[in-house]
Amino acid sequence: MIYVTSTLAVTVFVCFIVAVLGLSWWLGRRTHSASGYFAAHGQIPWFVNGVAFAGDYLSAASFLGICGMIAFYGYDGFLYAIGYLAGWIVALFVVAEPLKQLGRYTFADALDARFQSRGIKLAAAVSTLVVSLFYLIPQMVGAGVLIKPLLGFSHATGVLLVGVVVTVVVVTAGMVSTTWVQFIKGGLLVAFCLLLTFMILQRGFRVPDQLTVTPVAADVAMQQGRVLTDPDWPDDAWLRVAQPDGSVVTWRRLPDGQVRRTQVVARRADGGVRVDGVPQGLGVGERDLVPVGAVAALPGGGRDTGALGPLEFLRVFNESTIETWTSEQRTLSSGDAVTIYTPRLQTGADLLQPGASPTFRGVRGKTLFEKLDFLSLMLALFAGTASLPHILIRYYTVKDVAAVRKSTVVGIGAIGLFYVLTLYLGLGAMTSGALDVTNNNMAAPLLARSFSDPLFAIISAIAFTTVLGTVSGLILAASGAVVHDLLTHVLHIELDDHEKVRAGKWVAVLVGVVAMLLGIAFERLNVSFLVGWAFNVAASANLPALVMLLFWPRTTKQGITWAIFAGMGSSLAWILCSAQAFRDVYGWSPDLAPVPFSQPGIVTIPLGFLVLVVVSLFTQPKGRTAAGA
Amino acid sequence: MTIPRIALWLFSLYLAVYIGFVGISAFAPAVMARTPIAGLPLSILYGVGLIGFAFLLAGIYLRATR
Repeated sequence: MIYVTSTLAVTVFVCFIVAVLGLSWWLGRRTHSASGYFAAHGQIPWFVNGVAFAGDYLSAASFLGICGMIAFYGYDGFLYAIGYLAGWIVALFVVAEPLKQLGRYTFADALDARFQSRGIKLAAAVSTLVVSLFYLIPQMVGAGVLIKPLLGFSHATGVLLVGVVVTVVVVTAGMVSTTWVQFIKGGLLVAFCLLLTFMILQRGFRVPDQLTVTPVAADVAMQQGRVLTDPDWPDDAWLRVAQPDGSVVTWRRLPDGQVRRTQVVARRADGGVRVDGVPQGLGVGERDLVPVGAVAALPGGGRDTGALGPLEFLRVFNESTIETWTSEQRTLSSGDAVTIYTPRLQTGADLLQPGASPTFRGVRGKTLFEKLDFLSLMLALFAGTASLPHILIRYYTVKDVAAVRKSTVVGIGAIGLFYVLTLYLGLGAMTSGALDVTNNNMAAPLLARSFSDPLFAIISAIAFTTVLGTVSGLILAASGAVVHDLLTHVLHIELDDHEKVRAGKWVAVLVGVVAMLLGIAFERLNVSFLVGWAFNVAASANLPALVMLLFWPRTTKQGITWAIFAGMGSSLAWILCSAQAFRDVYGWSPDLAPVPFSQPGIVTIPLGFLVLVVVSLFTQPKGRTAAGA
Repeated sequence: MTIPRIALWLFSLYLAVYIGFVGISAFAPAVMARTPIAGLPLSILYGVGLIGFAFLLAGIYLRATR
C-alpha cells in the first residue's frame, strides 16, 4: 500500500528526536566514570528503572509485531504477549536477586563470581554478543519497515537513521541517558495505548455497507468488462476480467458458481510492482491496494454497536463474524512473483482461540508432534526473558536488592497493562477497515490514523523511539560485554576507567554499524521470527548456567562454559536448519530442512542442562570442594 | 547467594498455572472455547488472568519481603 507522507508526521517526528537527543546530551554531561557509563552510578530510582524496564522490553516486536499479529490472526499474537510477560516471573523470582548480589556490570560477572575463569568470561561474553546482535536485527528491520511508509524513505535510509541517532545517544551518554530515554518511552507508550484503547471502545463495531468478502454471481462479474484467458490462471479456479480503466480484476471461483474478489500484487522480474494488472500508484491508470479489515456480522443482526465497555467489546467480538484476508504466493510462467489476497469469513470465537494463524495451526492438530512447535515456543518465551543480556544489565543500575524487587514489580505492572491493551488494539485494528493487507507491522499506526492524523503522527514518533530505546540498550549490553569481559578479563588488556569509557564508545559505534548493515541485509525477514530466535538462543545458552549455578553445588567452571557454548551452538544450528530459515532466509524449499519443527527450545534448553551436568561431573576437582559444597 | 523460600513457592505456583494454560490450549482446546463468565471465552480469561496473576504475585512478594 502507498502511504502519503504527512508534513505533520514528519514535524512531530523530528521534534521527538531532537528532544530525545537533547535530553541525552544534557544528562551525558554528567557521566565520566566507567561505573557511570556502564551502570549509571547505581543510582537510578527504582520507579524510573521499573518503567525503563518496560521501555526497554517493549520493543518494535512487542508493539508493532504483536498488534499486527493479533490484527491479522487473532489470539495467536496474544500468545506472544502471554509468554513474554510470564518470563518476567522467572526473572523476578529466580534470577534478579542472585544476579544483583553477584556482579557489577554484566551477566558474565555474575556467572564468573565464583570461578574467576577466562573460559566462562569468554563464553558469556560471546553469548551476550550473539544474542544482542540477533535481537538487534529485528529492531533495525522494524525501523526500516516503519520509516519507509511514514516518511517515504527507503528501508536502508530508515535503518541508517535509527542507527545514527542511537549510536549518538549511546556514545554521548551511555546508560544514564538510555535509562531516561527508556523511561520516557515506556511511559508514553502505555499512556498513548490507553488513549487509543479508549477510542476503540468508544467507536465500537460497525458493519460496513459493502463487504469484499460477499460473493457475486459470475455473470455479474463477467459483465463488468472483457473476460481474459491465461494458462497461468486455470478457468476452473479463476475468472479474470479486464476493466474499462485498464486494470484487471481477478475473481476466485467458489463451489456454488459464485465468485469472490481478490487483490493481486505482481512483482515483475524488472522490479516493477503492479496491483490488479496496472502499476501501483495513486494517479490515473494506476491502482493501489484497498485497506481492509471489517466486521461482517454482529450478534443480533445490528449494524452498529455504539460505545462498548471493555468486557462487552470482547464478548461482542466473540459472537461476531469477521472478514479477514489470506495470502498465497505463486510464480507465473512470465517469471512474475504474484501474491493473491483473498477475503474470507471467520467467526470471532475462532479468532479468539489459539491456532487460528498459520504459525500455530499445529496446536489444533491431532498428534503431539504437531503441537511441539507451540509448546517449544511457550517454553522459550517463558525461559528467554530472564536470559536476555540487555534486560539483565539493567539490574545493575539500581542501588540494592530491595530496589531490584520494586523496579521489577513496577516493570511487570507496566508491561502487563500494555499487553492487555495490545489485545484491544489488535482487535480494533482487525475491524477498522484500515489495514494494509501486505504488511501486518503497520497495523497499530494505521489504526491510529483511522481515528485522526495527529494521533498517527504521534504514534509513529513513539514507535520510532520504541526502536531507539531497545536498540540503545542492546548496543550498551554488547559494548559492555566487549570492553569489560573480553578486553579486560579474557585478553587481559588493562585499561583505566577513562580508557574503558572511550573503548566502550568505539565498540558501540562498531556494533551500531554492524547492526545497521545486518538490518539492511535482512529486510525481507519476519520481525517476530527473529525475536523468537533470539529468545531461544538466550534461553538455551544462559538459563541452564544461571539456574544450575544457583541450585547445584557441584557445578564446575568447565560445566558452565560448555553449557553456554552447547546451548548457544545447538539452538543457532537448529534455527539455521529450520524450514522457516530455508524458506525466508536462503530462499530454498522448506521441504529440504533437516529439523522437524522450527523452535529449538524444547530440545536445546534441556540439552544445555544436560551438558552442564555431564561436564561438571567429569571435572569435579579432586580432594578440594567444588562450588558451594 | 540465596533466593528466599517464598520466591520459590510463588514461582512454582505461577509455573503450575502457566503449564495449565499451555496444556489446556494444546490438549483440551474445547475447554478454552467455553464461555464461563460474561460470555467471554476461557482463552481470554485465562490469558489475561496470567498477566494479572504475575503482577499479583510480584506484589505479594514485595509485601512479604519488606
